[in-house]
Amino acid sequence: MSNTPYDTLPDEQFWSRAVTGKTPPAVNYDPAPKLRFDLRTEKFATAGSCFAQHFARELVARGGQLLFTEQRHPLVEEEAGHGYGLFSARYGNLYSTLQLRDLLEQACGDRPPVFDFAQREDGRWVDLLRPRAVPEGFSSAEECRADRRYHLGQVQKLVRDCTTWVFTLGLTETWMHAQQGHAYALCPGVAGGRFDASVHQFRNLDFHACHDQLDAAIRLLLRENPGIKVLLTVSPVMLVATMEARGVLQSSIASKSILRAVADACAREHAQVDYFPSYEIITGPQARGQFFDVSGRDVTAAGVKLVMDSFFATRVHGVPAHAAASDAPIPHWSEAIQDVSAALDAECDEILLDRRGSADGTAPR
Amino acid sequence: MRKIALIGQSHAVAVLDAIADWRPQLALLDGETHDNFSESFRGWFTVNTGGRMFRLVPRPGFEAFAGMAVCLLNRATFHGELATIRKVDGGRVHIGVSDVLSTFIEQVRGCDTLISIIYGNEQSDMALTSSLPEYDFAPFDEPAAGQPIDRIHIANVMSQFGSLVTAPLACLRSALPAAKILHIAPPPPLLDPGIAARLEGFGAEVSSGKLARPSLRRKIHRTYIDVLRAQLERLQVRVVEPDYDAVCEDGYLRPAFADGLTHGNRAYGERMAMRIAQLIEADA
Repeated sequence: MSNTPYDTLPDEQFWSRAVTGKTPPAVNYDPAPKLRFDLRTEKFATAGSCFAQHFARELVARGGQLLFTEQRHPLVEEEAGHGYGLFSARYGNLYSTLQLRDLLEQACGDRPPVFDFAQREDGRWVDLLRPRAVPEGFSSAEECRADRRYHLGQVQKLVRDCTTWVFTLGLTETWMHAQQGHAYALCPGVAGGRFDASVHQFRNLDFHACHDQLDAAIRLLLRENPGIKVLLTVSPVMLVATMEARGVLQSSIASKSILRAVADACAREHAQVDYFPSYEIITGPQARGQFFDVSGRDVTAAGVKLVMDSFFATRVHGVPAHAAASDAPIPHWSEAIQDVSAALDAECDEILLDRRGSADGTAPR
Repeated sequence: MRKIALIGQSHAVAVLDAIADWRPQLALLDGETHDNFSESFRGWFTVNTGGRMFRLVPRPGFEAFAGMAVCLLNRATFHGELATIRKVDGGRVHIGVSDVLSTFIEQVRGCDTLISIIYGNEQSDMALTSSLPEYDFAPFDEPAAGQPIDRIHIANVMSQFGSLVTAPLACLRSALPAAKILHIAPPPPLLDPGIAARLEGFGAEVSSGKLARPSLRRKIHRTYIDVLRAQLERLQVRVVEPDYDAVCEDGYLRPAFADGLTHGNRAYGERMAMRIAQLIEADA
């Protein structure tokens, strides 16, 4: 019998031994992690799509230290609507790699701040680059401007102060300003502003574009914070709507496949970048779809729990004895926890696309 | 002859000093002074009128105030606030009235002009004793200093301060439906608190440098007045702003018009008294 390179490989590298016949929790999803994290010293920053919010919540619930550089000022009432605690700073959902690069370049002074504001029907003003990040909006464009400047400063502080930047890649489909080139979180008009076809341009980032944006963002993070670790995940949450002339399921899989490939490439190219397979845990055939809710689009709490159980099992050490999964009481180590919990009750803002579409019977354009 | 009444707290002292030699009527001349306050506040710290009034005999030049009945209240001598507003079932508003205000209301029925110089230093407290993280609000300093806060949040805080004034004036408006009611706003802050000869209750903050920057103090004062005016307009109460001549172009109180850190002096009181007199005469 001839020897082959496969003969000495561990069980995890064979489907029949790693997956077949195993329940989802019994699978070792992450047998060879490049980066590991000491919970006692690690300071995480989270950004990305709405799945990153789940990650943030579970991380905090299990004793992780999530940095918040933008926090509610004591003069601001303690109620929902201010957008604090959802992510480490009030950038809202960063769905695309283009958005991430835009934000980091503005925050770190590589490009001038983008001031693209609009007045809502209720008279409040929104920053179109993060229209849902501050749900209550602003009293004026002047306040939008001041807050954006402050926000960018706090993002830069976050980049410099964190030890691990967790980024969840969400979408390839995005909207851009045709002349200025900046990316929007949502199509203008969905959550503020007015859509203008001569200004607002749809773009579906292919692998190369996606990769170039993420690579540039990673280089910027490393330049600002040479010791930083970057952990990439891909959101398993499917698209609410697609602008491509094809089915949303097809677009979803295409989008997620590109993002997954980009994450893989960047993790190979940078020593301080790694990928954690939350996408595979939720969407892999071993799960048999059980971690999607009835819509088949969003992830269940059990799915999130399994992702975090896996993450803590293979990546994390120094976990405090009292830390437990999210069904245990959340430790009151920080006021921010309360904010996170409250904020997570809010929906992913991409859902606005569908809500609006069903309200007037048309897809957003 | 007009029937004029005045209800005031510490900011009324400057106006009363301008109008009349009033202290003997409250037996304040032998009262105590306090190191942190000027001679103007002699006896103030123990004055307890219980809401009862005295008649003022104005100096020449201030005849518009002839026969004015005055109720001076030191907040330290009564419990709680003059009146409080709270929402009850069904969204209705309930106003609780203190004993001193009840006593005052009983005495002012039939008045045709009421001058209010109550409260006003809460915004000073906020600006001067602030241990809050650095912040700014519109119109922003250039460059903006600290965390920008939307003006609605500042207005909400000021609204709480304003309700201390609004609640008793709502009671008084109810008792005096046809009267002209004027509310006198407090003076703006000094640009440099360090020049104040008397630091009132803020000595520790001034000496330790833990004061909000001047522009913030000025903006807080401005917002307070704007919010107060909006609240009192609904009661048809006119807010009388600080006298222009006593205020620098950039909005701070001129040092020559200051008595201590947050109050106006007699010269300031004279300016305000003249404006009040004009407003009393107007449409009379």
